[in-house]
Amino acid sequence: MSPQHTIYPILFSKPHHIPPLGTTTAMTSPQSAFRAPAFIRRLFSHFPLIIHPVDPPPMTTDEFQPTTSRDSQGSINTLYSFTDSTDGSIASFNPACLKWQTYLKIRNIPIKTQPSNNHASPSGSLPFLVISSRSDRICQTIPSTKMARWIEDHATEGSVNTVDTDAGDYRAFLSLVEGAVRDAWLYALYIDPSNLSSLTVPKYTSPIPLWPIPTILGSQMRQAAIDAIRKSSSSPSLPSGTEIYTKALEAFKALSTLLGHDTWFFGASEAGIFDAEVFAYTHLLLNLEIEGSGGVVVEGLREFDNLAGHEERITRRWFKSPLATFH
Amino acid sequence: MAAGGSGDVFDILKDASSPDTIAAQRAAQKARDDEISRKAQRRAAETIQGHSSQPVYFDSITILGAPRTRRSFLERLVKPALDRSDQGDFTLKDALRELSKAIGGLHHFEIFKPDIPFYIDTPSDYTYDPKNPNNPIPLSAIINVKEKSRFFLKSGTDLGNTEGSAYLQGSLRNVFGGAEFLHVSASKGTRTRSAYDATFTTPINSSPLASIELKGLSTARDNSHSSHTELSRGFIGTARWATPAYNLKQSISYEGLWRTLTELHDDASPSVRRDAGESLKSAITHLLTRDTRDNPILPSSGTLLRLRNSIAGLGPLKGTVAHWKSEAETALAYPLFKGITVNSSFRGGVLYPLTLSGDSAPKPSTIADRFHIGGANDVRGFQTGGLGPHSGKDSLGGDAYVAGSLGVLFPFPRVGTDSGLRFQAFINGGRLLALERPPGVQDMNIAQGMKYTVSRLLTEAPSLAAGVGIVYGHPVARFELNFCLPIGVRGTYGEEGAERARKGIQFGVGVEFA
Repeated sequence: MSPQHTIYPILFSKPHHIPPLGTTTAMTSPQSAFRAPAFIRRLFSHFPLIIHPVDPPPMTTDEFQPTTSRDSQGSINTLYSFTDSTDGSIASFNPACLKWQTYLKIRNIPIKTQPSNNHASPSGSLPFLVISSRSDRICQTIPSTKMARWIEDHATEGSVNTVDTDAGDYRAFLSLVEGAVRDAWLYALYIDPSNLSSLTVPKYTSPIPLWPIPTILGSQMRQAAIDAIRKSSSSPSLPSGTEIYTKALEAFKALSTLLGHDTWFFGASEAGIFDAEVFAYTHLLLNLEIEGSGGVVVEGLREFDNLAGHEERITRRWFKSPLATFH
Repeated sequence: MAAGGSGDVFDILKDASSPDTIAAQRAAQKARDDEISRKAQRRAAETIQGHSSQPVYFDSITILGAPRTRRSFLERLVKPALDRSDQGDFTLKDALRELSKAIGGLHHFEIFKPDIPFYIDTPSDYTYDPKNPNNPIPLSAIINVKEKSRFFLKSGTDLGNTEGSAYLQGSLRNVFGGAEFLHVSASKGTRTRSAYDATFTTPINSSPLASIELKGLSTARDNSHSSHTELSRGFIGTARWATPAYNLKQSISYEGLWRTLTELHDDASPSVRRDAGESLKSAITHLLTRDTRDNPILPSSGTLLRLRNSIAGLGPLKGTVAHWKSEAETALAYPLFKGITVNSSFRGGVLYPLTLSGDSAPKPSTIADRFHIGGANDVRGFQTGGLGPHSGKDSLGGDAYVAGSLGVLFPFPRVGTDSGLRFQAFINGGRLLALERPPGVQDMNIAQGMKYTVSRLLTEAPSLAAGVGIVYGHPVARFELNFCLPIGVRGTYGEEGAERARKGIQFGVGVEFA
């Protein structure tokens, strides 16, 4: 879905199962292909002789801290994302996470957020959603690739936003956001050394801020960003920052024209996934204190009043604003 | 070919060079040589015996054949012998004892080839004064060593606890001439998927009883029982020392490990997902071991006591996890009769969360730090990490545990006790709990919670399994093939949070069995 997902901190292959080893687990178990003789099965059916009640699982950070109020029963949707907070109305600092966080909010699905990292994700990248129900302790994990489907099935009311996401012009505008805008974001935050060291690395390595780990992860993130830009520009050499920023500003111009005087994109009566997609970048670009070369894009974006207004509308309605997380 | 009568000569010639004949001749020659050397030894021994109370002193001790070993290192090894001789009241018997101690020390460091010969003579300018037979006689001792080769490569397979691995190791012996070793090794295994490490060890003050070890490592470990792979890289520095009089061995180590829990299985539980990612453990560990067992792989008598205490993340240690982890282990082997032995063990541990420097309150433990018990050479009759809190198929681990076992080992009929083969019957069990808030208490007070958890641990029935099987104690590892049946288990099969027992055959290989 989002090409953003190849960033931070390490690109790794999809989790693969290690087949159980003969020495420990390949022996007779009741459900294996090998069926034990009847007398063995009869014997096994008597054991264990005593069944005790199960023990509670280890406490989570929330349960551990006396100050936080504990959630009531019922199902809890937790969006595992790059964030500093478990409060679902505090914006994530990662565009891919913020996009889904915003869309879940738009669709009125209550969520908590959980600070996490790509290692935790079933797809290898954040965000993903865990649906848990306190009553039966059963959990379901939804990777970002299946989130749109899940939201459609679980949102309390149907979407008012009826933009055809398969239409040609929709796809063209989407590729502007996921191409030009994303590349500028990557260049400004990961490749420009001033933001990498003052903003990106501290933010993404805040759980483990001790030398030399942030430095190592930082260089891995930077390399991943370079690879992602190369891949999308399909040229063997990395385009220059000016080139990337110019393309991004052209994209914003096109988006500004598309929005016009409407409240939401494509003239919809309610915000939709595309609004979340654009907001994820405009919100972060306008609210993070981006220094260095990326300032060009931020300044350029501010010029488009309707895009800034769109960003403000979403922030006011669904988030605790303004995002003041970078101090 | 020559035919007829000349055959005899050829036969004799042929016979003379046949391997059998040569071997027989050599054996006869060797027997004669041995006999001569035995007689010479006996004569020497008698001579020494006869003069064992003769006062002597060391005029010199010379170590030959150690060009790459530092003089100061060797001096410290022979110094006790010279000091003892200088004190006076020193007899030939004392001299021999001190010399053999020094040679024992030389052996210990594994930098010289075994079987170190030594010679004793009087200095060439010494003349015996028959009028004063009680004047101490000066001795010149010569110890003739051969240094082992400096570099060696080794490859092979290893059997660790429930895992097999193949390794390649390159070593540099006697790096700075003071019995320092540098080992660099790479291994691929079944559970430890890959491990690379470089270890430097050096004796402290030429002592065979104290050493320092510095190690850098990078490992990837498959923790399938908790649906993830754990990568660790970092540094461990260890100081070890032994107190032979009390059979005590101790060590203090510092470890700084960067750990990454990654490659989660698709069905990994949320608890595992919450703990996935990076952490840094910076910890100091003290380990004390007192082992009087006759054979750690298949003991028939003796006891083991092991205490391990580790502090992580407190104050200047930093890191991202903070806890005090304390474990105690005891084992007893007792011979009954006719080679039948009773083996028992008992162990327990707690993980006490501490406040990380800079934080306001302690954080809960993570899956990488918690205890996981159960398995073919742990609590048998359970899967690896099969006891304690679970979610889905994942072992979540616990913050406090007790485990114990009682077994009887019988020698195989007709094979006897020397073979290492035994029948065994055992019952073992354990209890593993996560830190819990006492019922009715709202605030999470760690001390209160730990007290409550430990009291539950000690008062409630443990999960139990029993079984019979065959044990083979090989010098490098112990093999067990058991038929196990669970007796008491928490939760039924398939229930959320249930422990994972194993019914039927279980095979275990390992160096350490609980």
